[in-house]
Amino acid sequence: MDMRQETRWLCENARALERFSGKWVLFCPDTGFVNKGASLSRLLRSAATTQVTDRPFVFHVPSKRELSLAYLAPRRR
Amino acid sequence: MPTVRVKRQTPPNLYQFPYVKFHGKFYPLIPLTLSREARTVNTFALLDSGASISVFRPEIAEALGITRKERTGTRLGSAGGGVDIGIAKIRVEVGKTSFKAKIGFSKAFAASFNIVGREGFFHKFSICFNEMSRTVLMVPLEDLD
Repeated sequence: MDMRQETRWLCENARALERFSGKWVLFCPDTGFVNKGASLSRLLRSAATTQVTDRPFVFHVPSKRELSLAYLAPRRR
Repeated sequence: MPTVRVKRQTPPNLYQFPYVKFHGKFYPLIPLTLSREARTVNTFALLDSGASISVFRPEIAEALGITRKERTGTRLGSAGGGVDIGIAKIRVEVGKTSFKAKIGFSKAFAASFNIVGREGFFHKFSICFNEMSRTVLMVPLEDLD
């Protein structure tokens, strides 16, 4: 059974990531590198220039307010 | 003596994704890779069997170089009426399974998480949500023959 490294990393660090609520987080599960910012494109650009890894993951950390909004599943009309 | 064919018990690719806890609640998030031409984004999305299509945050479309003009407009239903979103066909990878799927981009629908819905996705996998163990099990259907 394949339990992927990035999922394990997110589970283990989700609590710590909550302080970046509402921001984008870029992380590399293999190196433990984490960066955060309001702009995804800026984060990806800085990762490319610093060459932190060839396979970073990006994730928008939801805020408590975003999670409390009434969730409407997207449905075709 | 007749030969007995033993069926393989475990499919070669069985993915186990534990739910991720944010602000006290658990969510079935899966890692996936979206790519278009030379651009690739690795991210996570909420697996939602109640959603008919997949909707991601618009910043992902920008990172993939998908302009607004390249997105086909469609109207999605919601309790408060309808919301127009742009849809583009892009390559999706989950584990070793790769396929093209239509993905919509909208901040209104993907306010908290990117959403993976049924269309173009759920017919590629056998998916089991286990609420007791808070785990999603996914097996690519191509591996179940």
